[in-house]
Amino acid sequence: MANTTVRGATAIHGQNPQFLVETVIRNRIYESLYWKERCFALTAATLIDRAIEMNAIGGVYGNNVPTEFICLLLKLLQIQPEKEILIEYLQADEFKYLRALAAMYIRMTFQAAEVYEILEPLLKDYRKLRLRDVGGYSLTYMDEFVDQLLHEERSLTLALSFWVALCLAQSLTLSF
Amino acid sequence: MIAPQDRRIIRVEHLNLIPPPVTKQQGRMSERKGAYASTASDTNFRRKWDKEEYAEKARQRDAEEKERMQENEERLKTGKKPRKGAKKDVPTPTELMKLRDYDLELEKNLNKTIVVANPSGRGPGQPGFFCEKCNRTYRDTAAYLDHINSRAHLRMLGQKTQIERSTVEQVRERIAFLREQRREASKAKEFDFNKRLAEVKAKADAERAAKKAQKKAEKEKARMELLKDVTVQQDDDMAQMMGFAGFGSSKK
Repeated sequence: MANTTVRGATAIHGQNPQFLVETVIRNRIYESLYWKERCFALTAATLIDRAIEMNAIGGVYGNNVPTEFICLLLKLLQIQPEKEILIEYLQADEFKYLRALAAMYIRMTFQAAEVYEILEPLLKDYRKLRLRDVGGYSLTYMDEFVDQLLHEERSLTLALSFWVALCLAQSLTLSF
Repeated sequence: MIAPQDRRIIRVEHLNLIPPPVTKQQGRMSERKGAYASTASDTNFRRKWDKEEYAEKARQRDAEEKERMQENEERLKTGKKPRKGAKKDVPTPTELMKLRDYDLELEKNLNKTIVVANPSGRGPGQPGFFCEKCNRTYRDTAAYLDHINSRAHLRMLGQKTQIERSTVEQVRERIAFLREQRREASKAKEFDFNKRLAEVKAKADAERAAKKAQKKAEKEKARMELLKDVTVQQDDDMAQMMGFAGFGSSKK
């Protein structure tokens, strides 16, 4: 159905992948017009069309209104595409918001070592990204965003996996 | 000649509003038969019920109900749940859930005033959003979208509630296609830009030339006028003074 996780999806960090987005935000997404109208029946291939239409990353803005970015992130969690597909997303370098989306998804769902291996090359991507949050739009950069993903436990109002963060922190301290 | 007491009736006749002729005898108490025994024909406007038609409908309904009950008994015997309503002929879902490839046009009638063409309160033409497939009207976009995405609506379309799994090849193809599309778009824009620049330049040149020509013409005209005036005046003065018609200047 429109909001259920795809059949046969594997549990991530011991739970339904959609639960990685907190309940309050998730319910706001389910209610939002963008989700109902534009995200219905998206597949891993058709999701790219929506992703390249995006013009900002972000969690929620205004009065807890979900951004398109977070709606598509939840859609990814819902349909759970294969790892190869996500790598394809990352490699399509002219679509930077698609790349940001894939990076966020990988950080949320993959194991620490994989996250580090996959996301580290993105630290060389210095392109600008627009960030939409409660205060409006602001500017950030792809490397800054990826750095935040690698170091912090929260990003774009979403809790990232604490264990992955811990492992990442250890591996980072070990490697430096 | 019309008598004054008849004048009232004639005027009413003209308006096609003939009141029933009231005579004093009809109004008398002794000739009434009571309200129920009235033979008055002024109840013809009442709706006539086609009893046969409704009896037929009732019979049909009973037959359907009987059939359903029989079916339910059989279902109960086999351990299935009884059916509550009549059996609907919904197509069996054959294809996977598909992306809508058309625009829903939710804001098509925004800020418009529309006369409701259908006064019955049901079916299309009512205020709100109408789903033709399921014959339902929804009052707002949220409810309409919920319906459009619902299992019931998908069943009417013959779709399952599972989406297709995209393969890596499909994703690669899609990315290549979008990449090509974007390149084409940027190329088209560039081409347009140069062309437009040339067009603008040509237009500006033409305008400038026209302006120049006009200015030149005006100048020439003014000069001619001035010259004519001066020569005429000079000629007149001189001619009067010296007593002949003119110098016969070669200038015109």
